[in-house]
Amino acid sequence: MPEIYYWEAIRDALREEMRRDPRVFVMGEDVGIYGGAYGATRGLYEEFGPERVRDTPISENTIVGAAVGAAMMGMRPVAEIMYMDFMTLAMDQFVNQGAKNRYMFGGKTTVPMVLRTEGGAGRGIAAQHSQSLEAWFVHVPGVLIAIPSTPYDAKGLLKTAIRGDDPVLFVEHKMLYNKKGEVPEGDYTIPLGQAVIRRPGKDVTVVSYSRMALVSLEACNALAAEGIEAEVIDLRCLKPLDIEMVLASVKKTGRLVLVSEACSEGNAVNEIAMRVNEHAFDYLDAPMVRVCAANVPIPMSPVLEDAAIPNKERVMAAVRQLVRG
Amino acid sequence: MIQHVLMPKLGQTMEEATVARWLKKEGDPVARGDVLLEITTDKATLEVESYVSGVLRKILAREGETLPVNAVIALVGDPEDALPADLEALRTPAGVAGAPSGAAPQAAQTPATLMAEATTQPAVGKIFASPRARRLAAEEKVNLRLIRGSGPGGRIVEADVRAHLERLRQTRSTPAARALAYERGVDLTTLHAEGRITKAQVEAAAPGAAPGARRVPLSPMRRVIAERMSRSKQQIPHFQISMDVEMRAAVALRTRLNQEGPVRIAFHDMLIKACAKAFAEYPMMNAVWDGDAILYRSEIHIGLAVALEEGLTVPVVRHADRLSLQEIARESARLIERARNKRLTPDEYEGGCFTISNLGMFGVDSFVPIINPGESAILGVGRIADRVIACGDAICIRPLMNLTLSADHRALDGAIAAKFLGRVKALLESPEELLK
Repeated sequence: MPEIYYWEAIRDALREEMRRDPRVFVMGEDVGIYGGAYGATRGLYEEFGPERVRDTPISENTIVGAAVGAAMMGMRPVAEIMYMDFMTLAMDQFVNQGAKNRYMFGGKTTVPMVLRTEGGAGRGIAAQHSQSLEAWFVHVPGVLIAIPSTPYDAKGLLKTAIRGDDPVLFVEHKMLYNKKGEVPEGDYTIPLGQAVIRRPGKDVTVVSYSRMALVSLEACNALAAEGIEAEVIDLRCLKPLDIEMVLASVKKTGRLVLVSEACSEGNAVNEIAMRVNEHAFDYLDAPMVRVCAANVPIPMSPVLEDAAIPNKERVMAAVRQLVRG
Repeated sequence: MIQHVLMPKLGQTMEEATVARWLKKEGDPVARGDVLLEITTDKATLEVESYVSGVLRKILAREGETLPVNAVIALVGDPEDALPADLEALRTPAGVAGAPSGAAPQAAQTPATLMAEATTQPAVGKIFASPRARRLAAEEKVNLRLIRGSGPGGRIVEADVRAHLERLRQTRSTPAARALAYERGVDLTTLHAEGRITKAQVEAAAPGAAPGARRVPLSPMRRVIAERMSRSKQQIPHFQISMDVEMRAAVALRTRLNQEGPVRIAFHDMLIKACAKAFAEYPMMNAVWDGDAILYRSEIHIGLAVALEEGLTVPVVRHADRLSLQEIARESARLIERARNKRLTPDEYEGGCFTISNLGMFGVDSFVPIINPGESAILGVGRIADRVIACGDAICIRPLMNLTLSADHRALDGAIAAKFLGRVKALLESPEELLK
C-alpha cells in the first residue's frame, strides 16, 4: 500500500470528493493560489478553478457564515479556519447557526458543511496559535467532531464528513501534516464515531486522539519492554463518541489513562471518565488518570512548550504508576 | 409469559416480610392456589399462594431475606420464556410497573440493607478496595478484611483478591466451613487440618469464639423481637407502678366456674376481662403516642403474650370489653393454640391496645415488662402465692398476686395509670363483677 503524507491524504479526499460531486467546494484564507497554510489544498485551484476553490479575506465569521448559508442552499462547502484558535471569531455562525438550523427549522433544512481547522502545539508559535479547543465543541449539540491522527483516518473520515448532512468540525493537527502513513488508492470511507484499537493489551487502557494517540502508542510500545501490556484506543472522533469500545476495554483491563493535548480543566476526556464512572465503575481497579496539558497558555519557548503538554515520557510514567502502584 | 410473584401485603401495617421457607423450587410446576412459600412478618408466619399457573422459573428472594411489600420475589412462566436481564432491579418495588407508590420509599432502602448484610464484616473500620476488587470479592464470597492490599496506600486491588482466591483453592475445606469462614471473617488459609477443614474448626477460630459456645443465626422472629424491644426500651420513657391483688375470691370463683361449666377459665382470661372492663371505664388509658399527637382509640383489643420455643408472640382478643368471660376463654384458647402452631393471621395479632404478660406459672413473684411498640402499656403478672398480711389489726394468710404496669409516660401519667390498675385490682378482688 502506498505511503503518503497526512496533508496529501486530506488533499486527495478533497480532490476525489470535488470530482465526484459538483456541489463540493473549498473556501478559506490562502486555500487557493497558495495551496493552504499547511499545503492541504495544493493543486486544487489549478484543477477546479477560482469558482470552486475560493480565497477569502481574513474574515472568519464571514467564511463560516457563508458556508452555513451555502450548505442550507444545497451546496457541500468545505471551509477552512487556518488555526483553531481563530474559531473564536466564527463561533456564532458555527454554534448558533450551523449547529442549530436543522433543529430550529424542524428538519426542513440541513447544514451539510465541513469546517476544517487545525490545532495543537509543537511549533513554538505561542498561546494564540497552539491551542486544542475541541472540548468547546463537544459541548455543542448539533455538530460532529472528527479528529484523526493518521493519513488513512484523515482521508476516510473527511470523505464521510463531506457526504454527511450534519455540520462536521474536522480537526487536523499542525504536527501531523508531515507524517506519513499507508493509504489505499481510490475511494473508501470511515464512519464517524468508530474508535480503533491501535494496540491490544490487558493491563491498562490508554485512550487518546489526534497527535497524542500516536504519542500514547509510542509510549505503550516502549512499556511492553517493561512487561506492561497496554491497550491503546484512538477515538478518531469526539462526537459521536465510541464509548462502547472504551467501556469494553476498561472492563477487560480495570485501569484507564486518558491522554489529551488540551489543558486538563474542562477537557473532552473528562466526559469519558464520567461515562466510565457511570457505566463501568465496578470494573475499575484503580482511579482513572489523565495526562493532559497544564492549565496555562501554551508558552512560546520550546522548552516550556514541551513542559506544558504531554509527551512520551510523561505518558509512560503515568501508565507505569497506575499499573505498578 | 413471565409473571411476577410479589411480596403480598397481608395486613394493614405490614411493610415488609422475611422469606421463611420456599415450598416450591425452581423448575417446579405451579398451579394457581398452590402454596409457594412461607413468609414471616413481625408477627407471624404466613403462607403465600400463587395467583398464576406455570413453572416456577426463578426465585429472587432467598430464605432469610427481608423484602418490602410488592417486591418481586419470584417469576412464574412457561419453561421456554426468556427471563428478564436485570433480575436484581425487579426486587425493589420501584422496578415494578404499577406498583403502589406507597411502597416506593421503603424500596429505596432495600438494596442498601441487602448489601449491608451481604458484606457483614467481623470488625469495624473502613476497607479501602477498588470497585473491581469489591465486585470480585462479592462474586467469589471473599471477605475483604482478610486481604492485605498491595495498591497505593494499601488499597486492595483485583490482583490481591485473586491471589487470596488462589490460596483458598489450595486449602481443602467443607462448603459449610467456607460459608462460615466468609460470614465470620476467618482466614481458612491459616487453619490446619488432617483432611478438610470443618465448620467446627472455623467456629473455634472465629473472632470472639468461646470454647464450647454455639453461634445461632437469628431467626426472623428473634430479629423482630430484638428490633422491637430495643426500639421500645430506647425510645419509650417507661414508668412502672405495682400493686398486690388479694386473689382469694378470684381463685374460688375460677374453681367454681371450672367445675360448673364446659369452658375452662384461665387466670389470664380473668385478667383480660378485668383489664377490658377497666379500659372501658378509663378511656384515657387507650392512648398511644403518635409523633406529634396522641391517638385515642375507641376499640378495646387486649393482647396476651404467648411464649414459644424461639421467642414469643402476642395474639389479640378483639373487642374484649364486649365478650363474656366464657367467650374470652374460648377465644384465648383458640388464639394460643394457633400461636403455638405459628398459624396466626395478621387479624389475630395486629391492632392490640394493651398486652398482658403472665409469668406466674414459672414461679415469678413480680417483674417489669417492656411495652410492645404501638401500645402504651403492658401488665406484668406474677404468681399467686400465700402471703402473711395484715387484716385489720390481725395477721392472716391470703393468696396474693403482684401486678406491675409499665406505661409510656409520653401518653400516660402516673395518676391515670394508678386509677386503671386500682380498678383492675378491685375487679379481681370482687370477681363477681367479671361475670356481668
